Amino acid sequence: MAYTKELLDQIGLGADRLEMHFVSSAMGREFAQLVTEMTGRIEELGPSPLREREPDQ
Amino acid sequence: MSDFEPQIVAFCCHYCAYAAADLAGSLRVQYPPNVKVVRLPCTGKLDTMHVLKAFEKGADGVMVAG
Amino acid sequence: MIIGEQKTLEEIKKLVADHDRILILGCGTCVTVCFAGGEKEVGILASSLRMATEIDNQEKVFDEATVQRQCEWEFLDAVEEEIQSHDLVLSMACGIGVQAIVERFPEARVAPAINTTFLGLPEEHGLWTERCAACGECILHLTAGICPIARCAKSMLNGPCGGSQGGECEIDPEVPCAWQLIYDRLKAQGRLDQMLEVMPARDWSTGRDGGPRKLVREDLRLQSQDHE
Repeated sequence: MAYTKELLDQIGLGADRLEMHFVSSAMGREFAQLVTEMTGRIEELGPSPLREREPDQ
Repeated sequence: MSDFEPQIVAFCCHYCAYAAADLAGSLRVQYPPNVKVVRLPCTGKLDTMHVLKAFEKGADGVMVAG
Repeated sequence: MIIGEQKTLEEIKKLVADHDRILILGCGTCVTVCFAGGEKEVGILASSLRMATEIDNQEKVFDEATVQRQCEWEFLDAVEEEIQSHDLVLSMACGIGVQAIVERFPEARVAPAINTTFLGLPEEHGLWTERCAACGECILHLTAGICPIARCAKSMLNGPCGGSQGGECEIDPEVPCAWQLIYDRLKAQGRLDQMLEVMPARDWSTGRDGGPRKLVREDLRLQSQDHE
């Protein structure tokens, strides 16, 4: 994970776009919560710099 | 920026987070529809290459859960 | 095996700056097992470069290929078409692989994506250390199987020197003193008398000091080459 995050920084995408969480099979609510939070954080970061030039994707 | 809908790929372990996502559905817990879940036999199977491919294909964020 | 380490993405971006069609060529031997330039690393580098150049608003093509061994022409011939159809080959092999491409395909432009670091072994996951200096005259039978040429900072034949402190080399506390290792091993085997054998100054011309080296095996040469 640390290696991949560093790579994302070097590429110019930013390490913040990758997250890892521990979720057990009984954590349905927590999973939904994590996904909602992650969506919020990515909304703040804005679209991936790779996507900006591909509006139809 | 308000119409920006993030594309997120979630790599999930079949036995942990994938089951949790399933449970979230059974419990009728709402979560954003822009998350695409990719089921892995185990998150140990995840490779840097899979994460890079997700970004290369246009993902805005990648989540690993297991 | 030959150990290598990938250059930083920043450095590699500079290497490909003036080229549009780039072939990233991996090697399936040494650099595959030390995770520096095998098929997997080729994929990761190609994907990283594709994204990085797109973010920088540049248009470049990065194709991928991996051969079993870049240091043998037979294997390179299998990818001749790919090599000729790109304006840069970014080799992820050791320095030998890079030069093999250049010699086989004189028109090809080749750049190294990894640094060839040393001849060594993986001590544990993610840790490689040097073991051989390819000096051309092996003396491991005299030194308890531990090489003082590669592992002693001074390549001393009769050690340890005064810089050996508590089993460590004075250059770095992380580096074990090769002669301490030799002493410990000889002692454990009850062969300490070996330490008293003084090794005479040696002829270093079998190593790099003798200039570029060459090995000829007449028994293996083909008939046609005998009369060159």
